[in-house]
Amino acid sequence: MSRQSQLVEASWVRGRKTDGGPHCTNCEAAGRAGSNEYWSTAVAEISFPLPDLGEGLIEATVLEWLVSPGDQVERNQPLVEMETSKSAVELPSPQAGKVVRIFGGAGDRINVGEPLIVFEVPDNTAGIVGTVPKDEAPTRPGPPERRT
Amino acid sequence: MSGRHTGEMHSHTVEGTDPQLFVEVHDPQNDAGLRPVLLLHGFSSSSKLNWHDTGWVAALLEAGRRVITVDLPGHGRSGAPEDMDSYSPSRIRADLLQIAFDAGVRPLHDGDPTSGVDVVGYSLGARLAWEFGATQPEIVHRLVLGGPNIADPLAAFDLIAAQNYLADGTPIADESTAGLLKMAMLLPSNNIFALLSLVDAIKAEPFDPAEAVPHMPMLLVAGDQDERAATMPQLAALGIRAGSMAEQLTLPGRNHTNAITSRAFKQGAIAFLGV
Repeated sequence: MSRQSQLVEASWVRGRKTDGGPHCTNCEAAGRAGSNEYWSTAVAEISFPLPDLGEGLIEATVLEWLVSPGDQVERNQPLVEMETSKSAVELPSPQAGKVVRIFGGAGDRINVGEPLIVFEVPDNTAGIVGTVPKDEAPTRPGPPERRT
Repeated sequence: MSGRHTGEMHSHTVEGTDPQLFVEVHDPQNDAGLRPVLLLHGFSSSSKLNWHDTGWVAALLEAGRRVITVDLPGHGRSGAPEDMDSYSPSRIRADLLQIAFDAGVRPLHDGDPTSGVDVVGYSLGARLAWEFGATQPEIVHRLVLGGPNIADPLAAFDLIAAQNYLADGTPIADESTAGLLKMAMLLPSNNIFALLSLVDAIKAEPFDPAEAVPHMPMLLVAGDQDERAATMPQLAALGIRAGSMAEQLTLPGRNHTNAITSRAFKQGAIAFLGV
């Protein structure tokens, strides 16, 4: 796995609950610790920021959203096309769930780390972001880019 | 091969030398029973940047297609040979043919949808795909040419100016040369001297699309803001005159850099190749 893809995944799993509870800063550990009793509402919202796109990029421009609020998306489903100063990329969903909000329309710039999308998920899965069973982690595929 | 997995192919010599090209074969989880798709990236790009990060490999796998990716010499994870010959388009085409056979591509056979190979190329990759289709009609089933140009912009590249710029910062007068070099230098990982070797080799073998025209069906795709692909209709006309079914797809609001992620492009290509 490339340094870039690790960075992307690392940022993706920084999903946060936005329902007023404490931020899920270590979601995997929280899930293992059995956070279900902690999060007692039926659904929860999880916000994902624009992930680190590597190559020292700090922002990206929205080309086109491929999902809309209200859509039910699967993990790894393409969410949005973004353009950086170096290339265009398609971001796969880090999460299965219902899209609640998306940030930025075509042509809008978003900084790395700023909110990109908010999902609504059944509450009992909110605590285990990054370890959803069966599905593979979102792929920012490709082994290391070793240009010689 | 079946099931979802990705394998790295081990290369062997072609015409006596090892092309050092990094090749991967990706198998779909649910095979649609169609021929594989060979993806050819553009200048200063790589399979990762051009096809993985843009969602192409995932979209093709989702459509049940087996995918072959290759990094061009001096690009991505391929080697950057010293000798100029490794970068010549004719040598690259010979390497691609070997790669196709190594990946299990068999000559086209009427009534067998698994025979042959479909080729998708972007920019320089579209030029290579055009020539590959024209010279290998026995195995190429259909072509998708993204951001295509009737004349390779790299052939007009001012190598001397680029070398002077790299040596002491002398400004480059030619706008296209300056733009291409800037693009090549944006990625710190690019081997700029290998890329210049490729430019040099392309200048020795400039694209002459009329010299050999593919006869198989082709889909030409470009953004309507793509100045590098403004000549796409002429390329399509060449194909049609030669008896190819040449369809064109224009992507509103897209340019040479950002047409590649377009959903309409991917869906258009997948539908066009899904026969």
